[in-house]
Amino acid sequence: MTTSVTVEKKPKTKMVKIYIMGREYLVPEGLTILKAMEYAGYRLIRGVGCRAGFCGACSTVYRLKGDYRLYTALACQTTVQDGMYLVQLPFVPAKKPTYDIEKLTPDLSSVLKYFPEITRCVQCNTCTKVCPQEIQVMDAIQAILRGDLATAAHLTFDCIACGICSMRCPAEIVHYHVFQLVRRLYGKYIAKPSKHLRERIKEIEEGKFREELDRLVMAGVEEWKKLYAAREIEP
Amino acid sequence: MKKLVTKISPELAKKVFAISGQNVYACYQCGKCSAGCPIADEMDLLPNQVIHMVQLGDERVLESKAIWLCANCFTCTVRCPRDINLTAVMEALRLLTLRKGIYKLDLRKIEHVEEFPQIALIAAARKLTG
Amino acid sequence: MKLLYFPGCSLKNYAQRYEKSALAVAKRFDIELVELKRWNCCGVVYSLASDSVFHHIAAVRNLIRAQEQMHETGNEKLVTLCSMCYQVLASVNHRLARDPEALETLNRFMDEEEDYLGTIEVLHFLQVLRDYIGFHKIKESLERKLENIRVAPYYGCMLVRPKEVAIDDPEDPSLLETLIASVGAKPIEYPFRTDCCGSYNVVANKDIVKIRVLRIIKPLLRNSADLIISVCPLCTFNLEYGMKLASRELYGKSIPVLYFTELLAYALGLDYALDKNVLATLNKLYEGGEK
Repeated sequence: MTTSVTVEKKPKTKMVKIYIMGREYLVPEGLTILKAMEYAGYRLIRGVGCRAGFCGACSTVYRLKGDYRLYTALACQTTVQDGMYLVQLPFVPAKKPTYDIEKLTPDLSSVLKYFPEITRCVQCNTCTKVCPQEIQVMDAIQAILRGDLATAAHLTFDCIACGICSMRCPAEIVHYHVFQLVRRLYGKYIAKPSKHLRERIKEIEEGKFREELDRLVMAGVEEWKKLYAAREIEP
Repeated sequence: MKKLVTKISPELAKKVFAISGQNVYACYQCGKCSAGCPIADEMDLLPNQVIHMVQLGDERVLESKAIWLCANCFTCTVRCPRDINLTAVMEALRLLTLRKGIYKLDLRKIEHVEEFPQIALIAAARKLTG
Repeated sequence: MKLLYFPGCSLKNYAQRYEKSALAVAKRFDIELVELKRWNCCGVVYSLASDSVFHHIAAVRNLIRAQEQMHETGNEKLVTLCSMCYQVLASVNHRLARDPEALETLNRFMDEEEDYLGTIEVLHFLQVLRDYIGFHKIKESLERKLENIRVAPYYGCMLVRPKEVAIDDPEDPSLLETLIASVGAKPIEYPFRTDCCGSYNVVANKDIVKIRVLRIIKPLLRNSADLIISVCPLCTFNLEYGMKLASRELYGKSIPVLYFTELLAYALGLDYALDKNVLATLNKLYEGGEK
């Protein structure tokens, strides 16, 4: 029993056949998975977020025609393919641990205290293979096991906590929570403090920008519109 | 453990052979393994008793404490006159439980886990969890 | 001579002093230990399931790294300091050499890496000392002869068992005794030098380690050993931890545990490579004079 979506009055648009949650749909080629689901009539309230590949909410599992494998991707960043059979995930329900960053030391023992299961990593590299941000996830976990939190923090900078790695991990590690703790420890204790930031904070506290801000607040909508239109845009 | 097993079966030995490649029937119970085992005093079954239970097909050996205390030190293996890798037999018996998803160590419940060098935790996780 | 060096997790954390002293000793004899890039945990302990290769992945990945970086040293040797790492890597190597099907399965699974060809030779640093430097050379290069220091060699399990990868006789090894004699010290004979320290049981069954260590330490106290030298970070941890747990049974006595490279470094005058408290312990024993 298939349902087809009628094609709009643009006969030149190539359509591809995809399956969403088991039902067949014809959608225009070139749409992202997210847009394709909305084209097909789904209104998404979970499993969707920034639509820009930054929030990690839209994890999708799918398979392709003629291929037995299961693939994972971000729905907002991946275009549909003919024969794609997909399922959208609302979110990955991993438990968030509670810790007081002020009371932790920036080394391996703090990470082991909350995530001792990272010692179960067998280095199968499945996490790296499924990461939509192309992060070297296994290398990051191994760096942490060596006690090298700085390398792990740098390697996982692009992590958006989509959770795909944790779902496939045979050692049941929840990578993104581990990385978040490591980055927090790195930022607070290991990274060099930014001189410019401190100077700017001092300037703000001394009231250097008070007058300018007050003027802006009083300026009114017309002035704001003019200022906005004339703002400096970085290339 | 005092009740005698009434039915002798090769099933357990077959399963152990499939995982470890070791033929337990080669053992003639000389006891050198138990004599050399550093943890024998704390085990509820001696290593040679463990292998005897496998020979008889007594699955109660899977519930013994002995197989989980084994430290993988290979002392039994280097001394066995029949060249049976008893360490591998112990591992096979552990795996029969671990592969069902039943783990014998909850990493999250270890006291002061952060004091141990990671080598101890990794080794424990390898042998006591799946 | 350059040799690829696999540190292992402990060497970068708990056992940093082992690495520091070992690198210094190697350098003294013109051996540069080139650390492997992008290495991972070796995957301790060696998995004995002959029907599965999953748990060998960790070790093979490191062997592949060594294969990729062989050109930096011009030879196929990989040296480790940690005995557990040695046993895992050597055992995996040994298994894959005898089981080409297992090797192929692993190579196919790790499709993002180059194939492992099985040609890396895994060595422990003690083998390097024995076979490439030679104990006679150590004897000739001593800055301090450690006479009258009574040193107990503790081999543990992983270096001498199982037979296939052991670097010395499993029942009657003599490597460490030769090393101790080469620095002029007195090796102590005692029955438990190859007895297991309890290994990973320290995590969930501390009492086992306490009992094991008691058994090992008691004869050493009777023989007035000044030092124990160990070859493995976990053994060192367990010996120290066990002595702490058993302090009542030992009447508060304990024996310092050092890595064999620290003893060597001291004898060779490489004081810069030793931790302050280790140096203090050794100085006290050396300058303690006649016993």
